[in-house]
Amino acid sequence: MKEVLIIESDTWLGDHFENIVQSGEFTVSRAANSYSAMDMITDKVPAVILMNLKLSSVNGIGLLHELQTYSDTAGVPIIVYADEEGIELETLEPYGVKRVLIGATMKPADVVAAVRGVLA
Amino acid sequence: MGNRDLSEGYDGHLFNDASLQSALAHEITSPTVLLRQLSLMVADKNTTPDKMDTLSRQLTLTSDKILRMLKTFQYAYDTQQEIKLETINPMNVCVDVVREIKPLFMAQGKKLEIKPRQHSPLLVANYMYLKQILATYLDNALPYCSAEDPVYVSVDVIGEKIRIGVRDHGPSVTINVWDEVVDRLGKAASPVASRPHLSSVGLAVSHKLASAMGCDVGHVRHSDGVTFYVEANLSRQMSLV
Repeated sequence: MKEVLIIESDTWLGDHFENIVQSGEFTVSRAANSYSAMDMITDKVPAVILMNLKLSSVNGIGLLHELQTYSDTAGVPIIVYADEEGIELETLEPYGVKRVLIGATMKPADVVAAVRGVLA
Repeated sequence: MGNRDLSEGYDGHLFNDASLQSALAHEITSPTVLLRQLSLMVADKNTTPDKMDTLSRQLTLTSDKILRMLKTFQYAYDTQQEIKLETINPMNVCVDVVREIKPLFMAQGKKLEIKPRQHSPLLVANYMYLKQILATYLDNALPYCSAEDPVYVSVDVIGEKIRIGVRDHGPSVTINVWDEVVDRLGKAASPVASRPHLSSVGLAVSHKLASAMGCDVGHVRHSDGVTFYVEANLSRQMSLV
């Protein structure tokens, strides 16, 4: 099974996404902030990264930028989600972002569809 | 407390209404999105009864947090009225607010403690305002603690003032954080870059409430966290007896 790394500072929201992604028959690893995410990615590069743009330490953009600087992580497809609309995919595409989900409107099926979509 | 005592009181300017409303709308979106996602899990046919109990608790605690945020907003406008100042035992306020918010910490596997202290001197403030300020500090501290590194609420006497502090283990903030919060309120998604989850509205309103009571707010930067505090005048009640 392909591994999806979920980067989410909110424990409950992270649990929620873990359940959803697992229901799509993917394995899940979790990181609560950018620092632990980088440690985990260094150990094992995931097939997909699903992350909140708003993290508790270095914000998501900082992490996206760092991932693009390494040859082994620059190609990992990334799905970001944000609380509100206004985040344009075109703005984030240079950082390897393939999908943008909006928390205010997305449903569980949208998450699984997005993961499958970026792996297709 | 910490290794460095870079104590920074705030005596800056106030925010305007438009920036406050814009910032609140932005900040309240995160817990509301969480509420929505939790509700979707409740509606999921595959959710087990055990999981349903947990979700129910999470829904309640998240709703409580949203209500606290709305109360903060309400207080921002209520300070036009005359404030009732009273003599308060600071430990009572600490116990009261910790009792209210501790379940949220525990449900996330985190720890919130009060530093024990006997016979604290009394202070002069408005009980509800003081409690609201501490609730804001505690909500802000939640992402920056764990079971091993708890958030501590402490009461200290600093000269003629009583300082109630909330000590976390998060990233540092700048010396000018209070000015930054007010200057960038409603203009930036995360006015404090090192702490995207920090409620700028909460800090701005805390300053406003403190000023209305004749108290001060500020922060102390440690090598491994920050203490946000409110300082009130010692009560002279005893010396008049």
